[in-house]
Amino acid sequence: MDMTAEQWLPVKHLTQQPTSLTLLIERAANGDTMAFEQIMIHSQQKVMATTWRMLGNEADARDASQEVFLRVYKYLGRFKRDQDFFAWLYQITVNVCHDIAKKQTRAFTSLDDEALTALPANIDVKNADANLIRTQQRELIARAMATLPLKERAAIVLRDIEGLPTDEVARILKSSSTTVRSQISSARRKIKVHCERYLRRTER
Amino acid sequence: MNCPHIEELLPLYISGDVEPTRTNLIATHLQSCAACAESLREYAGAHQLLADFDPPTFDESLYNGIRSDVLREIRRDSVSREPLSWLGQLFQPRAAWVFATALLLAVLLASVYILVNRSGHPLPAQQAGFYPGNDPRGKEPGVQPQGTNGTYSPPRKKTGVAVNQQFRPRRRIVISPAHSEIAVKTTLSPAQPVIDLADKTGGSSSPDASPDAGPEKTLRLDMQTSDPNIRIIWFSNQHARTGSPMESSKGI
Repeated sequence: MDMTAEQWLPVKHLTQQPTSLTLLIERAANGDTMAFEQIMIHSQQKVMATTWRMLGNEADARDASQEVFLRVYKYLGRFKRDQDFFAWLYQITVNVCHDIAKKQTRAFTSLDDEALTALPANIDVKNADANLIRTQQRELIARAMATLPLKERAAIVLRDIEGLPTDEVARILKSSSTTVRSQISSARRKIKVHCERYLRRTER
Repeated sequence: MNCPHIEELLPLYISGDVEPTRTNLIATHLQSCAACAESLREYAGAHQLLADFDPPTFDESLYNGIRSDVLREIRRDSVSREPLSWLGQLFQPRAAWVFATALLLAVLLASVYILVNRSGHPLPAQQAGFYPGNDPRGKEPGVQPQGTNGTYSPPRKKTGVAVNQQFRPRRRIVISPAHSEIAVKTTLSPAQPVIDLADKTGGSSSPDASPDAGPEKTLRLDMQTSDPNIRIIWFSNQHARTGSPMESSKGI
């Protein structure tokens, strides 16, 4: 699934701000902070979601998102017009998440671990509330993601969650398609093993 | 294709990342192998869970906070950068190249300047302490130091006409350890001695004084080497004192 800018941007903001993204980028690159704020409004949800998926907790995701926008502003002058802005944004996001994850080891711990500890051993999936199931599934995947190396985590987030094609993921991660395919395959195998018990239970 | 081989390809098969030729083979195998088909269902389930891995809904206040923090940081950074903006420009790719090139040129010019100047000064004889005017102990050439150890000889009494021709090197010699011996030889040139014609008897004397002038008269020839500590004193007259045709003051 190839995502376009229109899919990416919240529609309400696009209607409110008729100025095209290219123009906003150009103005922001010249130091217009108002234009940059519009860019942040357009992309904040996506950036926050990606950082949360990569790091597994809200506090780190917030710090990472802030750092992503600071880097975007800093390097906006180097952004080329023929470049895909969102691919560039993903690239920065992944790099920032890598930096933060290397610095600290609390990714996918704190709240998520506590929630998973509280997960009942015998889950009656069919009778459970839909929201509870969703929360449990989220926590299950979060825990599975925590077991992945950073590169595999980035590949799986971009390919399976953000839905980018493998070639695009390879470009963002500055890697080859073969390497990315290998990382994705490895990550899916680990996640499947991690979720096996839950998946078998739900199939019954 | 056997089951282990299929199992390896299933993670990519679920998203269509397997080559078309293999896709057909896998599909055929899955129709006849229940175990691999079960594994495929688990992969598909995990894939679906991943696709649904959405973050919780964050408050708008969180986004507002991020934006305001970012903008505050940008403003603070731009204010602090203003006085040093020129410094930041140095690290721009193009400016960095220009700066590095200019620095390299400056270093090269400085090196050339130092080399050119060093080739003229000082002379190797001076470096080695051979130049009479450069007595490392700060004493005048040819003047014996006072109050030193046993090899000291008292200053000679100049009663006659003294012709002092201070040695001066006439050409510069390029600094090189290999040339230091040449410098010594040059300074030893007998063409430029310090000639001191002295009449021991106190009578008049001249450089062309005849040895037949009398047995009391002695022609004394002083030769100052480049080393201010070494002086060769030669008595050329046949009536010269025997036993010490040459004296050396080396070691003072």
